[in-house]
Parts: sequence; C-alpha cells; structure tokens
Amino acid sequence: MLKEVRDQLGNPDDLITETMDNGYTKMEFCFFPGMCDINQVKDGILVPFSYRFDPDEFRRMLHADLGFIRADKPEEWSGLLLKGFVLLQYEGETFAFGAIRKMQTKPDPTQVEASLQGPQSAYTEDLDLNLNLIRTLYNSKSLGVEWHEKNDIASQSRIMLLYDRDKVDPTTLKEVRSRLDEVDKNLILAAGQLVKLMSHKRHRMFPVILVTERPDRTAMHLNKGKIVIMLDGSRFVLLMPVRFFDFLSAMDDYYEPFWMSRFLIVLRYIAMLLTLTLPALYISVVSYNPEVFRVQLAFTIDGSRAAVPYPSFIEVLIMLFMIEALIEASIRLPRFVGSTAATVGGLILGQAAQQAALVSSIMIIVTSVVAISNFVIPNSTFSYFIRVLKYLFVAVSIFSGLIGVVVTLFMLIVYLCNMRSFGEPYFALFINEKKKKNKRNPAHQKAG
Amino acid sequence: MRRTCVGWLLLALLVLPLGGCQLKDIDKRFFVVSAGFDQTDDPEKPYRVTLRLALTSSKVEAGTAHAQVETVDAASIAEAVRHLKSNVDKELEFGHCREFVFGRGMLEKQGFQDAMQWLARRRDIQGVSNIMVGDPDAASILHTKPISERYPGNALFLTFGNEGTEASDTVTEYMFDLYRREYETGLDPILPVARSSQHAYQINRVALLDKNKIRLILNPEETQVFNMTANDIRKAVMAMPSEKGRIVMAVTRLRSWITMVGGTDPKVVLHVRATGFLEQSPPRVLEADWHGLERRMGKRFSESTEQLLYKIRDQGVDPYGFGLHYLAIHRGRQKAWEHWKSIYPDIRFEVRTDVKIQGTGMVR
Amino acid sequence: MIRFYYYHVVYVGLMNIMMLVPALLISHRFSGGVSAIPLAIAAGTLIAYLTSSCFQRFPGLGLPEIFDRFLPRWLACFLNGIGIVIWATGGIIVLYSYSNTIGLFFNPETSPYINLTIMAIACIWAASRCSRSVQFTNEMLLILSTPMIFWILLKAMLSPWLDWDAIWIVANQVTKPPSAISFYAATFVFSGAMNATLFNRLTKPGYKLRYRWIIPLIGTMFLLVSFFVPIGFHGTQAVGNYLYIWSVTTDCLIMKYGFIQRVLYLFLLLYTLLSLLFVMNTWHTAMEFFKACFRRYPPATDQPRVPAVNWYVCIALAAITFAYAYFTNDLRNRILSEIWLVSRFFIEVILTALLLLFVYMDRRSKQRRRAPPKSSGNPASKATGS
Repeated sequence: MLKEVRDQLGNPDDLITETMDNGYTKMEFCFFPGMCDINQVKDGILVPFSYRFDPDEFRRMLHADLGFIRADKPEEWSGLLLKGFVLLQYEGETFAFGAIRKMQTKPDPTQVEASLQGPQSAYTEDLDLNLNLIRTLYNSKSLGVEWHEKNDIASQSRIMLLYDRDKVDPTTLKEVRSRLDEVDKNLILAAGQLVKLMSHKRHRMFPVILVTERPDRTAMHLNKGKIVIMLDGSRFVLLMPVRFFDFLSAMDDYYEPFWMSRFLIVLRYIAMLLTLTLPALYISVVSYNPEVFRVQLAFTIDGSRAAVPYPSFIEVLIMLFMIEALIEASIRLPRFVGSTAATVGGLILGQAAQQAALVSSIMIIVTSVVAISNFVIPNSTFSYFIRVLKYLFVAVSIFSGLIGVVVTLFMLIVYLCNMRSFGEPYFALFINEKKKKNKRNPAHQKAG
Repeated sequence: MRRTCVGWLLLALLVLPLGGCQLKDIDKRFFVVSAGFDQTDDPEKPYRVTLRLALTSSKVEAGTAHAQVETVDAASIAEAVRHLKSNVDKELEFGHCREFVFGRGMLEKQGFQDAMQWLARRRDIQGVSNIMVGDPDAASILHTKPISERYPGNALFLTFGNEGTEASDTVTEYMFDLYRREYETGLDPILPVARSSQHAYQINRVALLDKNKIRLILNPEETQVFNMTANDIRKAVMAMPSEKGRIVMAVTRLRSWITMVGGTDPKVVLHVRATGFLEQSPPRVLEADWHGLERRMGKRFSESTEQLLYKIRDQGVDPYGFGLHYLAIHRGRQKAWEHWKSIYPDIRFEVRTDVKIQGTGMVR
Repeated sequence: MIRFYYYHVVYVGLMNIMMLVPALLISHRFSGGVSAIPLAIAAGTLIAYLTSSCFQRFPGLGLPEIFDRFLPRWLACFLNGIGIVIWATGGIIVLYSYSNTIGLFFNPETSPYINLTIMAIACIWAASRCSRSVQFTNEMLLILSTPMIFWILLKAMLSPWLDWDAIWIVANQVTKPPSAISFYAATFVFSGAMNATLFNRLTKPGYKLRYRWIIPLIGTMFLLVSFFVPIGFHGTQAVGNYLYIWSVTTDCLIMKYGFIQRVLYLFLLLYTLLSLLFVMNTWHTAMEFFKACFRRYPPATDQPRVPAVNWYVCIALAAITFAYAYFTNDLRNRILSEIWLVSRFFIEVILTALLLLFVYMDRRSKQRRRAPPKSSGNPASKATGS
C-alpha cells in the first residue's frame, strides 16, 4: 500500500509512511502529520497497537470503531490522505482513520456584522462546526442538508446546501441546484467567489446573494424558506434568494425594542439615499440650480466656493477620490496604523485642503457625510455596490443637474424592480402573500 | 459583451455633447437679492431699474454682508435687466430675489401693471416674492445698508411674512396675491410702504391701490387696524385711554369675517373676535369691571375700524374684498357685479368686535 | 393583487394636471366647466365600474387576448392598433409637455432636447421591462412620491391665502349647462381604471375587486382639488392668464423650514417621477399591444431578460416623440392634447361596450355548454361541450 500511495502522490517529503512492528504483527501506516491531529493518532492507533496490544481487541476496534472507515479501493487513498485521514493496512485490510486536525474548536466572535445584544458567535472556517452552530440554532426536523459534491474541484471544498424542507419553494431550490451545477471553476476559496460564480450577470449593480457570518441570520432566513449554501474553509455562508431590504437589515433590528429598531431602519435608508445622491446634489446645486435650495444655503456655498479654482465636479471627484483612497487604505493597513491614517487623511488633509482653497468647506462636509452614511449600511457587499453607484449619479448630474439626478433615481428603481433573485422579485413590497401560511420566525416571537 | 460595450459607447457619445455646455458654477453667478423699479423723467427711457446684488463671503456675521447696487434706465424693465448684464462680470440670477420695490412716484403716475407683467412672466421669480412701495423712491430703499444684515438682503426679507419679526403694522403682500388683486372683481391691490431710515427699514404703512395706481396711504395706526381686520394679524395691540391711564391689550388670537345683511340695500357687517391679555393697565382695573372693560374696548375698536372702512370706501377701493364676498353669495354674476358697483359708494358698515381678556399678565 | 389596480387609478388621477385637464376646465370656468365635473364623476365612475366588472370575468387575460378569443384575427389586430395609438400618444404628449415644463423651470437656457433626451432614455428603459416589473415600479414610486404630493395638496388647501370667496363664485356657476369638452377632459381623472386592459394579464383566477368605492372618491378629490385650488390662489380672473397653472399655484406655497423653500421645485421633482411613471405605463401598454398583433410574441408577464423587440418598439416611440417635439409648439401641443382627451373618452366608451358584449357572449357560450346535458342528455353535445 505504501508504495502505491507514494506513487500516487509523487512521494512528497511531508508524508510519513511507516511499516510498524510491535513484535507480534506488522501494520502499514501513512499520514500527513501537518493535516492530522497527532494526539488523536497516538490515542487512536499508536497506543492500542504498541503498548496495549491485543490482536482480537485491535481487530474489533478497527471494525467497530466509528473512527475507522474501510478503504479498500486504492484510488481513494490519496484523496483520503489529502483530507487529513490516516491510512493503515492491517492484515490485508485497509482502513482510514479520521484524525483531521481542527484549527477551530469554538465559534469565532463576530467581526463584520457586529451586534449589540444578539449572539456574538460567528461562523468559523470549519464546516462541521458551522453545521453544529446552525443545527443548534435551527433545531428543526425539517432542516434539509445536502452535500453538493464536485469531483473536479482541486480544493475539494465541501459545499453544503441547507434549507427548510417544509418552507422552501421547490422551484427556487431547483434553480439554485442548477446554478450550483453550472459553477465550473475548479478552485473555490471564498464565499464571495462562489457568489460571483453563481450570479449570472457579471455586471449586475446589486448583489442577489446575501453573504453573512451570523448563524442567527442564517437561522432566520432558513425559517423564511430561504436556501443556505455553506462552503468549507469559509467564515461566511450564502443566503438566497434575498431581497433588497435584507441587505439593509441588521440582526439587531429583531432584538431591539420596536420603535428603536424602526428608527434605525429609517435611518439606514436615509443614509443610503444620502450617500448615493449627496455629491450629485452638490454638483447640481452649484452648477445648475442654485435657486432650488434655500437662500442661506446658496449664499453659504457661494461664499465658500469663491476661491476654488475649478468647476464643481472636479472638486467633487477630487474629494471623493481622497475619501475612497482613505477608506481603502485603512482597511488594508494594520489596525493600529489604520487609525493614524484616518486621522491624517480625514482631519489634517481635509482642513488643509479647505484652507488652501482647493475645495470648499461645504464639500468637506458633503464628503464626510457620504463616507459616514456609507458605513451605516450593515452589509459590506451592499455598501460596496452603493459606493460605486454614487459615481453614476455624479456623472449624470454633471450633464443635466437636478433633473438628471431624479431621472436616474427613477431608472434605478426600475432597474431594481426588474431584478429577480433566483426567480423571486428583488425589490417589491408585500409579496409574502403566497407564504402567508408560514409562521412568523421564532426570533421575532422571542423579541416580542 | 462587445455589443453592450458599443451600446454604452454610443450612448455616451450621444449624451456627452448634449450636456456640459450649460454648466455654470455658482461662483459665476450674481445673486440679485432685491430689485427696485422707478420712473424717470426721460420719455425715451421711462424705467429706472435698480438691482441689489449679493457679494457673498464665507464668513457669516452681522454687519459683514456686502452688496453691490446697480442702476440703469431703459425703455422697459426687460431691456433694463439685459443692459445691466453688461455692467457686471457674472450672470444675473433672479432665483433668490424675493424683494421687489415699486417706487412711489411710479405708482402714482404710471401704475404698476407694466412692472407686474414682467414679474409674472419671468419663470425664475417666485410667486411668494414680497412686493412693496418704496417711499420716496425704490432706489433709496435699495441703497440702504442695514447693520444687522447677516447675508445680503435678509433684513428686508425677514421683515415680511412672520419670517423674522411679527410686527402688527407690516402688511405682507406676495407677488401672486398682487397679481390676483390686479385682475379680481371686487378685490383691490394693497402694498406695504417702505421707507429707509439711516441703517434700517421702516415698514409700517400700507398703500391702497385701485387696479393700477395708489389711491390712499394709511398711517401706522390705521395700518395696524387694517392688518388686524383684513389679514387677521395677531401680535397686535388694542389700546384705550381710561381715567387712570392707558389700558393696552396684547392680542393673542384674532379672527375676523364678513357677513352681509339686508337684501337690495345691504349693510356690510365685519365681525372681529379678539382674545388677549392686558399688557399695560392701572392696577386692579380688570377685576373691578371685567365685562365692562371688554365691552368698552371692543366698542372703541369697532369705532376706529368703522372710521377706517368709510375712509377706504370713499376712495372707491375695496382691499377687503367686500365685492368678492357679495358676488360669492349672490348668483348671476354680471348683474350682481353691476349692482354692487352702484351701491358700494354709499354702503353702510357695521363692525362687531367681541373682545375677550384672558388675564392681566403676572400682576393683578 | 388588487392594490395594483388602484395604483393605476391614483397616478393617472394625479397626472390630470400634466394632461392640461385643469387648464381646460379653468378656461371654461364661466361657460359650463363646473357643471361638467359632477357629470364626469358619474360617467367616469360608471365606466370604471363596468370595465372592472367585465375584466373580473376574464382573469389573467389582457385585452388583446380577449379580442383574440371573441373576434376574428384582423379585427383584433385593428382594435389593438387603436389601442397602440391612443396609449402611445398619451405618453408622447406627457413626455413632451413635461420636458418642456422642466426646461422652463430648471434649465431655461439650454436646448429643450436635452431634457427630452434624458427623460426619453429613462422611458425607453422603463417601458421595455416586463409587465410584472412595471407593476412593482408603480408600487414603489407611488409609495415614495404620493405622501409628499398629498402633503403639498393639503398644504395648499389649508393655506390662509386660499380665497374661498373666489371658489364660491366659480362653484356657483354649476347652473350653467355643461360644456362638452370640459366633460370629456374631466373624465380623464378616471382613466386609470382603463389600464386594466393590459395589466389584467397579471391577475389570478377568481380575483375579486373589492373597495371599488375608492375610485369615485379619489377621482372626485383629484378633480375638485386640481380645479378649485388654483382658482382659490389666483382668483376668478387672473387664473385664466396662467399657462402652467399648477406650477404657478404651487409656487404660491413656501416651506419656511425646508431645504427647498419653493414648493414649486419639490412639486416639479415629484411630478418628474410621476410623469415618467405615466409614460412608462402608457408606452409599455402600447408595446404589449403591438406585440400582441404578432403570434411570435406570446404574452409574457414575468421576463427579467428583456427581448430585443421591446427595445425596438420603445425606441421607435421615443423617435416619434422627438419628431413630434421638432414639429410642434406649445399651442399645437395644447390642441393635440385636447383632441387626445376627447378621442380617449370615446374609445373608452366603445371599449366598455365591447367588453359588455364579450361578457354576454362568454356567458351565452357557457350556458350553451351547460344546457344540453340537462335538457336532452345528448352524449354528442356533451362531448363537444367539455
């Protein structure tokens, strides 16, 4: 066996292949020490084989213990080894022993979608642990779990499909399955990559799949009849089909008191509208319709813009570029340097730019409002999309002012209304009529 | 893929030349904050247009507002404004101009209809612009520099329409209302009269016009009474002398309405209901005779109002809209209107004032 | 899904301002415009009730499908053609006059074609979507814009500058015999009910249109407000001098504390959305009628991927708008919109009559199917019946 394995894998140096002899009998034995938990190997194989060897007991253990799987086919061997199994051949029979080294043993703290009062645990990069998290939160008989296997995937990433059998829409499920089959990339490393591969149109302006790290959000969506895709090695899972509004809801909305959460939701929508349109509105007011806004505002802008040497849209583009660069830099930088960068960029540069009359003071406010409002959006993918989309508004406002902004808003709404997420409307209100029979989700009941 | 690219490119090519050319930044525009129209003696160029242009600065403080005043004479207002454009270095912007001053001389000789034509036609002139009479002329009002101005033009603008002060003797007249009164049967135009005094404006009189020219200018006391009865202005006072000293009531609520009694020979009854509290009075007057005081105060107000109404009637103008009300309650438009015109010169008025004093303030 | 029906009623009712209905009524305010209003309310309600009852009998079928079922092919195509003309013209008139209004108040110095281009692009884009998307857009935009429009209307009605005497004087004219053109124009407020011709495709079998009393309520309100409020602000005489009557009326209002102080601008921005919505619906209807003339394009209501023919039809409509804008002016547009208002009324009446006929035919054929087995029990007729 050892020779075959070595041949199949090209004799890598980090593979241990050993023929062990305890004085009574021999056993062939091989594994990747880097991928296996050495303690488990010791307790499970080495101790029974060497120190307390009893041939009957050992044979019984191999056949009955859940940790040992029969692996008689030589072509499976290399695959099992690569997944972190220990292969052993004893008395002509081959067994695989699961001693995969688990990096994670407890759930991660939430990092991207923080919540004040909700659960603080997030998914890990280990699929089994993630499944555990979901099963604990969504402890239902009707939870369907499908293992979606693809043979030609190099990373051998395991993909799991989860849904509530009673609540899921079968046509949507079929659609999701077929989309998943169409994915032909052989190396899937992150959830975001899978999202990209599963959304048909590459140039879509809005995400149709929600990526989350929160098990409670997953459970809530499962309860709504949504479908979940989990990927081994990713801290994030995919939820689909989703609607526009799901991207603007934080889990805290379900945990906070009614009026508080409503207030926050309204705040988020206003913030989204501001970050989308404010730069464009600035251009329209300055360059096209100064008479539209109130007189004090017009005079203040006029006064502060008096020394600015170039037209409004160049000013806007300069400031937007600066703020985007700043945001991008502070994400990539180490955390303690990041805050310095923010201070330098935000305070010093902004102040200096205004004093040097490169931009007007109103523009500084506009820029910071745009940046802050953008961070209010709870979903990071969605906030990226919004960040890009505001340039469309800026471009239109350069050519046609306020009317252009309103017309673009109209077109945006039409675009959203025409979108479907896996066959379901993306941007439509009150469409849950057909699912009226579904009970409200338990999270809601607890909160109420 | 390539096809969509080409599509976008075509669209961009289509849109790009369309836009861009009309981009005009705010700092390339001159904001007109008030405009004045006067009459000249030159028959060739009868109109003198004075514009007050804002010079904005980034600092907003009282007294720092600067303005540039430009004057030009021309054959019409529209032409005058075109000529003015060549005097200044930026595009004139009327969108924030909310003060229009008609010179008194113009209103007395020529009337306001030509100026009104221009105002109503311009798309960028607000319907809620304030219109006033400049005494003695419009230019003097525009040349005044009030010290309290935070940004150019705001002192004049805050005076009207309860925006800043709520003075009881300032009548607010909007452009759309003047236009309505210009054409309406049975309702005549009114205009506040502004006079400049050193570094401030004094707007406490009202001019009553027929369809074109000034017929009567009321003094400040009459203006207040007019404002209370015609526009239901609160924050006014009703005063009455008494043997111990003057009694002054501050009005907090006021409502007035018109009824007509009598068939063919109608009498106009103006009802006024005022509520308020005593702001100044000798001590313990109210306690002694609460109802009597209310009645006496009401009677006095009725008398002064009646006097005013007869004065207005004798000039043949109808700023209250009695005629309009008569038409509204009498059908058969044409005949009713003729009849009203014949009876208006000797119509009788009655004012019924119902005063309610709520209290005497903080002391008895 | 009945709420979608009422969205059409609401936005078409609101659009009467842009279709120059108040201008027409006001120009006849002393010659029978007032008495036309109650008549129009009665007639409009009747038509709306009749058509909606008829459409309830054909759930899931648009007008072209109903034509196909009862009429020979050539006649169906001809009637579709009339539908195309009337709907597309409505959209074209609104697009032209609104882009003009916008140009006047927002970008007066620029070429009017720029505004037209921007709005036409938006309309092409919007109208070429599938019917279901169009319906979602209706809902979204109305929810976004109507609260503020209602607020403006309410603010206007409660303004102290509103002169009730003037309103009374005009209202007293109700005794004059009604003028025909005012009557036709006023019925436009109820035209929203007619959009069921296409959007009936999206209804489910067995749907029941409840709360139909909303239609006369909304229509009456819009009609009275859009006619009397301008009179209240501008008086009985001056109101006749204005061209853009409602723009000027909203300019009489001021928001003391608002970012935008002139209500006019807010009003125009909101009506931009509504006008685009109106054009989207009319063009979409025209496009679907056009497609229904060809067997190649079966009705498809949920089709996120837009077929090329949608684009071609909408682009053609936009091109016609441009040609129209080139040849017309304010006066001609006024005349055309009057012609449109009148012809629209007659077509609505004809359509209602046709629908009643179809319902009758439908019922008779059903009776014929049901009757024979009872009376004779003839197996042959039973077989053909089922």
